[in-house]
Amino acid sequence: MEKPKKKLKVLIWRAEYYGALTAGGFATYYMSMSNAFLKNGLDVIFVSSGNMILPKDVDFHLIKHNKLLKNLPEVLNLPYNHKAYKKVKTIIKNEKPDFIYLQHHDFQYLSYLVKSDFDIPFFMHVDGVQSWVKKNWGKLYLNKIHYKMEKLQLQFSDHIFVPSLEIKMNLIEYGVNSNKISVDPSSVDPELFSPELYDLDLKNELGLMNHFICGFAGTFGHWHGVDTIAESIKYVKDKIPNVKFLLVGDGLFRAKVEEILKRDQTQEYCFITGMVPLSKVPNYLSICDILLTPCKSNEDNSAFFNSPIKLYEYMAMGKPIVASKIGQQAIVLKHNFTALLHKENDSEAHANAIVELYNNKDLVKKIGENARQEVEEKYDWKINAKRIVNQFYKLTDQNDLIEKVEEFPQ
Amino acid sequence: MDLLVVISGKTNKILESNKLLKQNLLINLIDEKDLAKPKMIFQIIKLNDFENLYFGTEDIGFQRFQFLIFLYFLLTFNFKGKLIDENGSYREFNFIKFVFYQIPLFLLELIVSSYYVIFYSIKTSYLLWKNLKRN
Repeated sequence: MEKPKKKLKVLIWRAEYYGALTAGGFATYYMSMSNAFLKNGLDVIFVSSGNMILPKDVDFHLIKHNKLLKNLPEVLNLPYNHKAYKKVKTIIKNEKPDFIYLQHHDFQYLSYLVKSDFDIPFFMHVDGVQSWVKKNWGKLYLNKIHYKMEKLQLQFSDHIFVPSLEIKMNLIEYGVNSNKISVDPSSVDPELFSPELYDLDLKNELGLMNHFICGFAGTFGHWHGVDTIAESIKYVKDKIPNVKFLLVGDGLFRAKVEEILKRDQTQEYCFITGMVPLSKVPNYLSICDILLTPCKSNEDNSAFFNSPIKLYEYMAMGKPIVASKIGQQAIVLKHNFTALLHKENDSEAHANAIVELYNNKDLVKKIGENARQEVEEKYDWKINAKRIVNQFYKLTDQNDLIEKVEEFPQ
Repeated sequence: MDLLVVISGKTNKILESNKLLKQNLLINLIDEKDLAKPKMIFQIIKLNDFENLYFGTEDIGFQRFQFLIFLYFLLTFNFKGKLIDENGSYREFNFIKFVFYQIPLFLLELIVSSYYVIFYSIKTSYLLWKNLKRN
Protein backbone atom coordinates (compact mmCIF):
# COMPACT_ATOMS: atom_id res chain seq x y z
CA MET A 1 0.00 0.00 0.00
CA GLU A 2 1.26 3.50 -0.86
CA LYS A 3 2.40 5.53 2.13
CA PRO A 4 0.09 8.57 2.64
CA LYS A 5 1.84 11.87 2.06
CA LYS A 6 1.82 14.51 4.75
CA LYS A 7 0.64 17.92 3.49
CA LEU A 8 3.78 20.02 3.25
CA LYS A 9 4.17 23.68 4.08
CA VAL A 10 6.71 25.94 2.38
CA LEU A 11 7.89 29.32 3.58
CA ILE A 12 8.87 31.44 0.58
CA TRP A 13 11.04 34.36 1.59
CA ARG A 14 11.74 37.54 -0.36
CA ALA A 15 14.16 39.72 1.57
CA GLU A 16 15.67 42.17 -0.90
CA TYR A 17 14.58 45.79 -1.13
CA TYR A 18 12.43 46.29 -4.22
CA GLY A 19 10.47 49.37 -3.35
CA ALA A 20 6.87 49.44 -4.52
CA LEU A 21 7.53 47.33 -7.62
CA THR A 22 4.89 44.66 -8.14
CA ALA A 23 5.60 43.85 -11.80
CA GLY A 24 8.57 42.48 -13.75
CA GLY A 25 10.53 39.23 -13.86
CA PHE A 26 10.82 38.65 -10.11
CA ALA A 27 7.14 39.39 -9.53
CA THR A 28 6.27 36.82 -12.22
CA TYR A 29 8.62 34.32 -10.64
CA TYR A 30 7.19 34.58 -7.12
CA MET A 31 3.59 34.58 -8.32
CA SER A 32 4.25 31.53 -10.49
CA MET A 33 6.16 29.58 -7.84
CA SER A 34 3.54 30.30 -5.16
CA ASN A 35 0.86 29.08 -7.54
CA ALA A 36 2.90 26.02 -8.47
CA PHE A 37 3.40 24.99 -4.83
CA LEU A 38 -0.34 25.44 -4.21
CA LYS A 39 -1.17 23.35 -7.26
CA ASN A 40 1.14 20.64 -5.90
CA GLY A 41 -0.96 20.59 -2.74
CA LEU A 42 1.39 22.52 -0.42
CA ASP A 43 0.44 25.28 1.98
CA VAL A 44 2.32 28.48 1.21
CA ILE A 45 3.55 31.11 3.65
CA PHE A 46 5.10 34.13 1.94
CA VAL A 47 7.33 36.56 3.81
CA SER A 48 8.36 39.69 1.95
CA SER A 49 9.91 43.11 2.44
CA GLY A 50 7.33 44.78 0.21
CA ASN A 51 3.90 44.42 -1.31
CA MET A 52 3.29 41.47 -3.58
CA ILE A 53 0.58 40.27 -5.93
CA LEU A 54 0.05 36.65 -4.89
CA PRO A 55 -2.63 33.95 -5.13
CA LYS A 56 -5.32 34.46 -2.48
CA ASP A 57 -4.57 31.20 -0.64
CA VAL A 58 -1.09 32.37 0.32
CA ASP A 59 -0.51 33.36 3.94
CA PHE A 60 1.32 36.68 3.47
CA HIS A 61 3.59 38.41 6.02
CA LEU A 62 5.10 41.84 5.39
CA ILE A 63 8.37 42.80 7.09
CA LYS A 64 9.47 46.25 5.95
CA HIS A 65 13.00 47.65 5.86
CA ASN A 66 14.12 50.28 8.32
CA LYS A 67 12.79 53.75 7.44
CA LEU A 68 15.86 55.57 8.73
CA LEU A 69 18.44 54.04 6.37
CA LYS A 70 16.86 54.70 3.00
CA ASN A 71 19.53 57.13 1.81
CA LEU A 72 22.31 54.54 2.09
CA PRO A 73 20.88 51.49 0.31
CA GLU A 74 23.77 49.08 0.98
CA VAL A 75 23.61 49.70 4.72
CA LEU A 76 19.82 49.39 4.63
CA ASN A 77 20.22 45.67 3.92
CA LEU A 78 22.57 44.91 6.81
CA PRO A 79 20.25 45.22 9.84
CA TYR A 80 17.37 43.82 7.79
CA ASN A 81 18.92 40.37 8.24
CA HIS A 82 18.23 40.43 11.96
CA LYS A 83 15.03 42.43 11.79
CA ALA A 84 13.48 40.01 9.29
CA TYR A 85 14.86 36.90 10.96
CA LYS A 86 13.46 37.91 14.35
CA LYS A 87 9.96 37.91 12.87
CA VAL A 88 10.53 34.85 10.69
CA LYS A 89 11.71 32.97 13.78
CA THR A 90 8.26 33.50 15.32
CA ILE A 91 6.57 32.44 12.07
CA ILE A 92 8.67 29.26 11.97
CA LYS A 93 7.79 28.46 15.58
CA ASN A 94 4.07 29.08 15.06
CA GLU A 95 3.52 27.81 11.54
CA LYS A 96 6.14 25.02 11.46
CA PRO A 97 6.94 25.09 7.74
CA ASP A 98 8.65 21.98 6.35
CA PHE A 99 11.21 23.93 4.37
CA ILE A 100 12.25 27.45 3.42
CA TYR A 101 12.74 28.73 -0.10
CA LEU A 102 14.60 32.01 -0.53
CA GLN A 103 15.66 34.01 -3.55
CA HIS A 104 19.28 35.01 -2.94
CA HIS A 105 20.18 38.71 -3.04
CA ASP A 106 22.75 41.24 -1.84
CA PHE A 107 23.89 41.47 1.76
CA GLN A 108 21.99 38.48 3.08
CA TYR A 109 23.11 35.72 5.40
CA LEU A 110 19.68 34.53 6.36
CA SER A 111 20.48 30.85 5.79
CA TYR A 112 23.15 31.10 8.50
CA LEU A 113 20.72 32.74 10.92
CA VAL A 114 17.98 30.17 10.33
CA LYS A 115 20.30 27.16 10.43
CA SER A 116 21.81 28.36 13.72
CA ASP A 117 18.45 27.87 15.44
CA PHE A 118 16.43 25.40 13.39
CA ASP A 119 17.04 22.10 11.71
CA ILE A 120 14.82 22.99 8.79
CA PRO A 121 15.83 22.49 5.14
CA PHE A 122 16.87 25.81 3.65
CA PHE A 123 16.68 25.99 -0.15
CA MET A 124 17.72 28.91 -2.27
CA HIS A 125 17.11 30.11 -5.77
CA VAL A 126 20.28 31.81 -7.02
CA ASP A 127 20.21 33.63 -10.32
CA GLY A 128 23.74 34.95 -10.12
CA VAL A 129 26.70 35.10 -7.76
CA GLN A 130 26.02 38.60 -6.53
CA SER A 131 29.70 39.35 -5.76
CA TRP A 132 30.52 38.53 -9.37
CA VAL A 133 27.55 40.50 -10.72
CA LYS A 134 28.41 43.58 -8.67
CA LYS A 135 32.12 43.37 -9.44
CA ASN A 136 31.54 43.13 -13.18
CA TRP A 137 28.44 45.22 -13.73
CA GLY A 138 27.62 47.15 -10.66
CA LYS A 139 29.15 49.35 -8.05
CA LEU A 140 29.55 48.33 -4.45
CA TYR A 141 31.03 50.28 -1.57
CA LEU A 142 30.82 47.57 1.08
CA ASN A 143 32.51 44.87 -1.00
CA LYS A 144 34.07 42.93 1.82
CA ILE A 145 30.93 42.66 3.94
CA HIS A 146 28.95 41.69 0.86
CA TYR A 147 31.44 38.96 -0.04
CA LYS A 148 31.50 37.51 3.47
CA MET A 149 27.70 37.51 3.79
CA GLU A 150 27.31 35.80 0.44
CA LYS A 151 29.87 33.13 1.43
CA LEU A 152 27.89 32.39 4.59
CA GLN A 153 24.56 32.44 2.80
CA LEU A 154 25.68 29.97 0.13
CA GLN A 155 27.53 27.76 2.59
CA PHE A 156 24.63 27.33 5.01
CA SER A 157 21.90 26.66 2.48
CA ASP A 158 21.05 22.97 2.06
CA HIS A 159 20.42 23.07 -1.65
CA ILE A 160 20.67 25.69 -4.38
CA PHE A 161 18.50 25.89 -7.48
CA VAL A 162 19.90 27.86 -10.38
CA PRO A 163 18.10 28.76 -13.61
CA SER A 164 20.99 27.92 -15.95
CA LEU A 165 24.08 25.78 -16.34
CA GLU A 166 26.25 28.89 -16.64
CA ILE A 167 25.24 30.04 -13.15
CA LYS A 168 25.94 26.57 -11.79
CA MET A 169 29.49 26.77 -13.20
CA ASN A 170 29.88 30.24 -11.73
CA LEU A 171 28.84 28.98 -8.27
CA ILE A 172 31.24 26.04 -8.47
CA GLU A 173 34.06 28.45 -9.30
CA TYR A 174 32.97 30.42 -6.25
CA GLY A 175 33.55 27.36 -4.08
CA VAL A 176 30.05 25.89 -3.76
CA ASN A 177 29.87 22.10 -3.78
CA SER A 178 28.43 21.00 -7.14
CA ASN A 179 26.33 18.26 -5.46
CA LYS A 180 24.14 20.82 -3.83
CA ILE A 181 23.34 22.74 -7.01
CA SER A 182 20.56 21.83 -9.44
CA VAL A 183 19.66 23.54 -12.68
CA ASP A 184 15.99 24.46 -12.57
CA PRO A 185 15.19 26.70 -15.56
CA SER A 186 12.44 29.29 -15.74
CA SER A 187 9.05 27.98 -16.75
CA VAL A 188 5.51 29.10 -17.41
CA ASP A 189 1.94 28.51 -16.32
CA PRO A 190 0.52 26.81 -19.44
CA GLU A 191 -3.04 27.49 -18.33
CA LEU A 192 -2.48 31.25 -18.26
CA PHE A 193 -0.39 31.32 -21.41
CA SER A 194 -2.49 29.30 -23.78
CA PRO A 195 -3.00 29.05 -27.55
CA GLU A 196 -6.74 29.11 -26.83
CA LEU A 197 -6.49 32.76 -25.81
CA TYR A 198 -7.11 35.45 -28.45
CA ASP A 199 -8.00 38.95 -27.26
CA LEU A 200 -9.71 40.51 -30.24
CA ASP A 201 -10.94 43.47 -28.17
CA LEU A 202 -7.37 44.37 -27.23
CA LYS A 203 -6.27 44.10 -30.86
CA ASN A 204 -9.09 46.43 -31.82
CA GLU A 205 -8.35 48.80 -28.94
CA LEU A 206 -4.71 49.08 -30.04
CA GLY A 207 -5.76 49.74 -33.63
CA LEU A 208 -3.96 46.66 -34.92
CA MET A 209 -6.87 44.83 -36.55
CA ASN A 210 -5.43 44.49 -40.06
CA HIS A 211 -1.81 44.10 -39.13
CA PHE A 212 0.66 41.26 -39.13
CA ILE A 213 2.05 41.55 -35.60
CA CYS A 214 5.56 40.67 -34.50
CA GLY A 215 5.64 40.84 -30.70
CA PHE A 216 8.10 41.14 -27.86
CA ALA A 217 7.32 41.21 -24.14
CA GLY A 218 9.97 41.97 -21.56
CA THR A 219 12.30 44.47 -20.05
CA PHE A 220 14.07 46.86 -22.39
CA GLY A 221 17.51 45.92 -21.10
CA HIS A 222 20.75 45.07 -22.83
CA TRP A 223 20.57 41.29 -22.94
CA HIS A 224 16.94 41.19 -24.09
CA GLY A 225 18.06 42.43 -27.52
CA VAL A 226 15.17 44.82 -28.01
CA ASP A 227 17.49 47.06 -30.03
CA THR A 228 18.08 44.16 -32.45
CA ILE A 229 14.31 44.10 -33.03
CA ALA A 230 14.27 47.85 -33.67
CA GLU A 231 17.18 47.49 -36.12
CA SER A 232 15.41 44.68 -37.98
CA ILE A 233 12.27 46.67 -38.80
CA LYS A 234 13.86 48.41 -41.80
CA TYR A 235 14.54 45.02 -43.43
CA VAL A 236 11.01 43.71 -42.79
CA LYS A 237 8.75 46.68 -43.56
CA ASP A 238 8.82 46.33 -47.34
CA LYS A 239 8.54 42.54 -47.35
CA ILE A 240 5.48 42.14 -45.13
CA PRO A 241 2.50 44.36 -45.89
CA ASN A 242 0.90 45.94 -42.80
CA VAL A 243 3.58 44.64 -40.48
CA LYS A 244 3.59 46.08 -36.97
CA PHE A 245 6.09 45.42 -34.19
CA LEU A 246 4.37 45.34 -30.81
CA LEU A 247 6.88 45.92 -28.02
CA VAL A 248 5.33 45.22 -24.64
CA GLY A 249 7.40 46.59 -21.77
CA ASP A 250 9.71 49.40 -20.84
CA GLY A 251 13.18 49.98 -19.45
CA LEU A 252 16.48 51.74 -19.80
CA PHE A 253 16.89 50.79 -23.48
CA ARG A 254 13.64 52.46 -24.53
CA ALA A 255 15.45 55.67 -25.46
CA LYS A 256 17.88 53.68 -27.62
CA VAL A 257 15.00 51.87 -29.35
CA GLU A 258 13.25 55.16 -30.06
CA GLU A 259 16.49 56.60 -31.42
CA ILE A 260 16.88 53.66 -33.83
CA LEU A 261 13.25 53.97 -34.98
CA LYS A 262 13.73 57.68 -35.60
CA ARG A 263 17.03 57.15 -37.44
CA ASP A 264 15.53 54.45 -39.69
CA GLN A 265 12.22 56.31 -40.03
CA THR A 266 10.36 53.20 -38.91
CA GLN A 267 8.33 54.68 -36.04
CA GLU A 268 5.05 53.99 -37.84
CA TYR A 269 5.85 50.26 -37.89
CA CYS A 270 6.33 50.00 -34.16
CA PHE A 271 4.03 50.28 -31.15
CA ILE A 272 5.54 50.46 -27.65
CA THR A 273 3.01 49.82 -24.89
CA GLY A 274 5.12 50.69 -21.84
CA MET A 275 4.72 48.54 -18.73
CA VAL A 276 1.52 46.51 -18.68
CA PRO A 277 0.05 44.61 -15.72
CA LEU A 278 1.42 41.10 -15.32
CA SER A 279 -2.03 39.59 -15.77
CA LYS A 280 -2.39 41.25 -19.17
CA VAL A 281 0.81 39.89 -20.74
CA PRO A 282 -0.87 36.72 -22.12
CA ASN A 283 -3.51 38.91 -23.80
CA TYR A 284 -0.86 40.98 -25.56
CA LEU A 285 0.99 37.87 -26.69
CA SER A 286 -2.25 36.33 -27.93
CA ILE A 287 -2.71 38.98 -30.64
CA CYS A 288 0.79 38.48 -32.08
CA ASP A 289 1.52 36.39 -35.16
CA ILE A 290 5.21 35.86 -34.38
CA LEU A 291 7.07 36.27 -31.09
CA LEU A 292 10.63 37.54 -30.84
CA THR A 293 13.47 36.92 -28.40
CA PRO A 294 16.78 38.05 -29.91
CA CYS A 295 18.69 37.90 -26.60
CA LYS A 296 22.37 38.72 -26.75
CA SER A 297 25.58 38.36 -24.74
CA ASN A 298 26.29 40.63 -21.85
CA GLU A 299 27.92 43.97 -22.57
CA ASP A 300 31.27 42.75 -21.23
CA ASN A 301 31.03 39.64 -23.47
CA SER A 302 30.69 37.32 -20.48
CA ALA A 303 28.56 34.21 -21.03
CA PHE A 304 24.83 34.66 -21.37
CA PHE A 305 23.59 33.04 -18.18
CA ASN A 306 19.95 34.02 -18.09
CA SER A 307 16.88 31.88 -18.30
CA PRO A 308 14.44 34.24 -20.02
CA ILE A 309 10.90 33.71 -18.70
CA LYS A 310 9.51 35.20 -21.88
CA LEU A 311 10.95 32.31 -23.89
CA TYR A 312 8.72 29.83 -22.04
CA GLU A 313 5.73 32.16 -22.15
CA TYR A 314 6.14 32.41 -25.92
CA MET A 315 6.42 28.63 -26.27
CA ALA A 316 3.27 28.12 -24.22
CA MET A 317 1.29 30.44 -26.49
CA GLY A 318 1.90 28.03 -29.37
CA LYS A 319 3.12 30.88 -31.58
CA PRO A 320 6.12 30.69 -33.90
CA ILE A 321 9.27 32.08 -32.28
CA VAL A 322 12.27 33.84 -33.77
CA ALA A 323 15.17 33.61 -31.33
CA SER A 324 18.90 34.12 -31.18
CA LYS A 325 20.98 30.99 -30.71
CA ILE A 326 22.46 31.80 -27.37
CA GLY A 327 22.70 30.35 -23.84
CA GLN A 328 19.60 28.54 -22.64
CA GLN A 329 17.67 29.49 -25.78
CA ALA A 330 20.10 27.36 -27.77
CA ILE A 331 19.56 24.41 -25.40
CA VAL A 332 15.78 24.60 -25.18
CA LEU A 333 14.87 25.56 -28.75
CA LYS A 334 15.61 23.49 -31.84
CA HIS A 335 15.95 25.21 -35.20
CA ASN A 336 13.04 24.47 -37.54
CA PHE A 337 11.39 22.35 -34.85
CA THR A 338 10.35 24.71 -32.04
CA ALA A 339 11.67 28.03 -33.40
CA LEU A 340 13.75 29.71 -36.05
CA LEU A 341 17.17 30.45 -34.62
CA HIS A 342 19.70 32.96 -35.84
CA LYS A 343 23.09 34.33 -34.84
CA GLU A 344 22.94 36.75 -31.93
CA ASN A 345 23.11 40.49 -32.54
CA ASP A 346 22.25 40.04 -36.22
CA SER A 347 19.24 42.19 -37.07
CA GLU A 348 19.24 41.18 -40.75
CA ALA A 349 19.13 37.47 -39.91
CA HIS A 350 16.39 38.25 -37.38
CA ALA A 351 14.40 40.01 -40.10
CA ASN A 352 14.94 37.17 -42.59
CA ALA A 353 13.57 34.65 -40.09
CA ILE A 354 10.45 36.78 -39.59
CA VAL A 355 9.91 36.99 -43.35
CA GLU A 356 10.48 33.25 -43.72
CA LEU A 357 7.75 32.53 -41.18
CA TYR A 358 5.41 35.02 -42.81
CA ASN A 359 5.77 33.09 -46.08
CA ASN A 360 5.52 29.57 -44.66
CA LYS A 361 2.24 28.87 -42.86
CA ASP A 362 3.00 25.14 -42.48
CA LEU A 363 6.22 25.89 -40.63
CA VAL A 364 4.37 28.37 -38.40
CA LYS A 365 1.84 25.71 -37.41
CA LYS A 366 4.48 23.01 -36.88
CA ILE A 367 6.89 24.95 -34.68
CA GLY A 368 4.08 26.53 -32.68
CA GLU A 369 2.55 23.17 -31.85
CA ASN A 370 5.91 21.57 -31.05
CA ALA A 371 6.87 24.41 -28.69
CA ARG A 372 3.56 24.16 -26.83
CA GLN A 373 3.99 20.40 -26.41
CA GLU A 374 7.52 20.85 -25.01
CA VAL A 375 6.20 23.34 -22.45
CA GLU A 376 3.46 21.02 -21.28
CA GLU A 377 5.96 18.21 -20.81
CA LYS A 378 8.95 20.06 -19.39
CA TYR A 379 8.51 23.74 -18.62
CA ASP A 380 5.52 24.10 -16.35
CA TRP A 381 6.19 25.88 -13.00
CA LYS A 382 4.48 22.92 -11.35
CA ILE A 383 7.45 20.79 -12.44
CA ASN A 384 9.87 23.30 -10.86
CA ALA A 385 7.93 23.10 -7.60
CA LYS A 386 7.99 19.30 -7.79
CA ARG A 387 11.79 19.32 -8.19
CA ILE A 388 12.06 21.40 -5.00
CA VAL A 389 9.67 19.11 -3.10
CA ASN A 390 11.66 16.09 -4.33
CA GLN A 391 14.80 17.70 -2.97
CA PHE A 392 13.05 18.06 0.39
CA TYR A 393 12.18 14.34 0.39
CA LYS A 394 15.74 13.46 -0.62
CA LEU A 395 17.22 15.58 2.14
CA THR A 396 14.89 14.18 4.77
CA ASP A 397 15.46 10.55 3.68
CA GLN A 398 11.98 10.02 2.32
CA ASN A 399 13.16 8.79 -1.06
CA ASP A 400 10.05 6.66 -1.54
CA LEU A 401 7.96 9.84 -1.85
CA ILE A 402 10.00 11.29 -4.70
CA GLU A 403 7.93 11.77 -7.85
CA LYS A 404 9.64 11.32 -11.17
CA VAL A 405 9.92 14.58 -13.13
CA GLU A 406 11.71 15.66 -16.28
CA GLU A 407 15.23 16.83 -15.40
CA PHE A 408 16.96 19.69 -17.21
CA PRO A 409 20.52 19.00 -18.51
CA GLN A 410 22.81 19.38 -15.49
CA MET B 1 5.76 74.76 -17.84
CA ASP B 2 6.70 72.49 -14.92
CA LEU B 3 9.34 69.78 -14.87
CA LEU B 4 8.52 66.23 -13.76
CA VAL B 5 11.40 63.83 -13.18
CA VAL B 6 9.94 60.33 -13.01
CA ILE B 7 11.99 57.96 -10.84
CA SER B 8 9.60 55.00 -10.91
CA GLY B 9 5.97 54.16 -11.55
CA LYS B 10 3.60 54.93 -14.36
CA THR B 11 3.81 58.53 -15.56
CA ASN B 12 0.13 58.72 -16.51
CA LYS B 13 -0.98 57.43 -13.13
CA ILE B 14 1.26 59.95 -11.34
CA LEU B 15 -0.17 62.79 -13.43
CA GLU B 16 -3.74 61.63 -12.93
CA SER B 17 -3.47 61.20 -9.15
CA ASN B 18 -1.86 64.60 -8.72
CA LYS B 19 -4.14 66.41 -11.17
CA LEU B 20 -1.27 67.46 -13.43
CA LEU B 21 -1.74 68.03 -17.14
CA LYS B 22 0.71 66.43 -19.56
CA GLN B 23 0.69 69.45 -21.87
CA ASN B 24 1.96 71.67 -19.03
CA LEU B 25 4.89 69.43 -18.22
CA LEU B 26 8.36 68.60 -19.39
CA ILE B 27 8.87 64.95 -18.45
CA ASN B 28 12.19 63.19 -17.86
CA LEU B 29 12.49 59.50 -16.97
CA ILE B 30 15.41 58.41 -14.82
CA ASP B 31 16.48 55.31 -12.92
CA GLU B 32 16.36 55.45 -9.11
CA LYS B 33 20.15 55.02 -8.97
CA ASP B 34 20.55 58.17 -11.08
CA LEU B 35 19.51 60.18 -8.04
CA ALA B 36 22.99 59.52 -6.69
CA LYS B 37 24.49 61.18 -9.81
CA PRO B 38 24.28 64.91 -9.03
CA LYS B 39 25.91 65.88 -12.32
CA MET B 40 23.16 64.16 -14.29
CA ILE B 41 20.33 65.55 -12.15
CA PHE B 42 21.70 69.10 -12.30
CA GLN B 43 22.01 68.75 -16.06
CA ILE B 44 18.34 67.73 -16.37
CA ILE B 45 17.31 70.61 -14.14
CA LYS B 46 19.53 73.19 -15.86
CA LEU B 47 18.62 72.13 -19.41
CA ASN B 48 14.96 72.76 -18.85
CA ASP B 49 13.20 76.05 -18.37
CA PHE B 50 10.37 75.50 -15.88
CA GLU B 51 8.45 76.96 -12.97
CA ASN B 52 7.95 74.04 -10.59
CA LEU B 53 9.99 70.90 -10.14
CA TYR B 54 8.41 67.55 -9.26
CA PHE B 55 9.97 64.17 -8.66
CA GLY B 56 7.49 61.37 -9.38
CA THR B 57 7.58 57.91 -7.85
CA GLU B 58 5.43 54.81 -7.51
CA ASP B 59 4.98 55.08 -3.75
CA ILE B 60 6.58 57.69 -1.46
CA GLY B 61 6.64 55.21 1.41
CA PHE B 62 9.10 53.01 -0.50
CA GLN B 63 11.18 55.77 -2.10
CA ARG B 64 14.86 55.73 -1.21
CA PHE B 65 17.26 58.73 -1.45
CA GLN B 66 14.62 61.21 -0.28
CA PHE B 67 17.27 63.32 1.42
CA LEU B 68 19.03 63.72 -1.94
CA ILE B 69 15.77 64.68 -3.66
CA PHE B 70 15.18 67.45 -1.13
CA LEU B 71 18.80 68.49 -1.35
CA TYR B 72 18.31 68.95 -5.12
CA PHE B 73 15.32 71.20 -4.42
CA LEU B 74 17.49 73.29 -2.11
CA LEU B 75 20.58 73.50 -4.33
CA THR B 76 18.56 74.47 -7.40
CA PHE B 77 16.44 76.96 -5.44
CA ASN B 78 13.21 75.08 -6.23
CA PHE B 79 11.54 75.88 -2.96
CA LYS B 80 8.12 74.87 -4.27
CA GLY B 81 9.37 71.41 -5.23
CA LYS B 82 7.35 68.31 -4.47
CA LEU B 83 7.89 64.59 -4.38
CA ILE B 84 4.66 63.03 -5.68
CA ASP B 85 3.44 59.47 -6.20
CA GLU B 86 0.92 57.27 -7.99
CA ASN B 87 -1.49 57.37 -5.03
CA GLY B 88 -1.69 61.16 -5.00
CA SER B 89 0.49 61.42 -1.88
CA TYR B 90 3.13 64.13 -1.85
CA ARG B 91 5.91 65.65 0.23
CA GLU B 92 6.60 69.33 -0.23
CA PHE B 93 9.98 70.96 0.23
CA ASN B 94 10.08 73.08 3.35
CA PHE B 95 13.26 74.99 4.08
CA ILE B 96 12.81 75.07 7.87
CA LYS B 97 11.90 71.41 8.03
CA PHE B 98 14.83 70.54 5.79
CA VAL B 99 17.40 72.39 7.89
CA PHE B 100 16.09 71.50 11.33
CA TYR B 101 14.68 68.02 10.74
CA GLN B 102 15.92 66.34 7.56
CA ILE B 103 19.60 67.33 7.86
CA PRO B 104 19.91 66.19 11.51
CA LEU B 105 18.05 63.00 10.61
CA PHE B 106 20.49 62.36 7.78
CA LEU B 107 23.42 62.91 10.15
CA LEU B 108 21.88 60.39 12.50
CA GLU B 109 21.53 58.00 9.57
CA LEU B 110 25.26 58.39 8.87
CA ILE B 111 26.15 57.66 12.50
CA VAL B 112 23.88 54.61 12.71
CA SER B 113 25.19 53.37 9.36
CA SER B 114 28.81 53.62 10.52
CA TYR B 115 27.91 51.51 13.53
CA TYR B 116 26.25 48.86 11.35
CA VAL B 117 29.18 48.75 8.92
CA ILE B 118 31.66 48.16 11.75
CA PHE B 119 29.39 45.69 13.54
CA TYR B 120 28.66 43.54 10.45
CA SER B 121 32.21 43.69 9.23
CA ILE B 122 33.45 42.19 12.50
CA LYS B 123 30.54 39.80 12.87
CA THR B 124 30.77 38.26 9.38
CA SER B 125 34.57 37.90 9.65
CA TYR B 126 34.15 36.13 12.96
CA LEU B 127 31.43 33.82 11.62
CA LEU B 128 33.50 32.84 8.59
CA TRP B 129 36.55 32.22 10.78
CA LYS B 130 34.48 30.17 13.25
CA ASN B 131 33.04 28.10 10.46
CA LEU B 132 36.43 27.55 8.84
CA LYS B 133 37.82 26.39 12.17
CA ARG B 134 34.92 24.00 12.65
CA ASN B 135 35.49 22.43 9.22
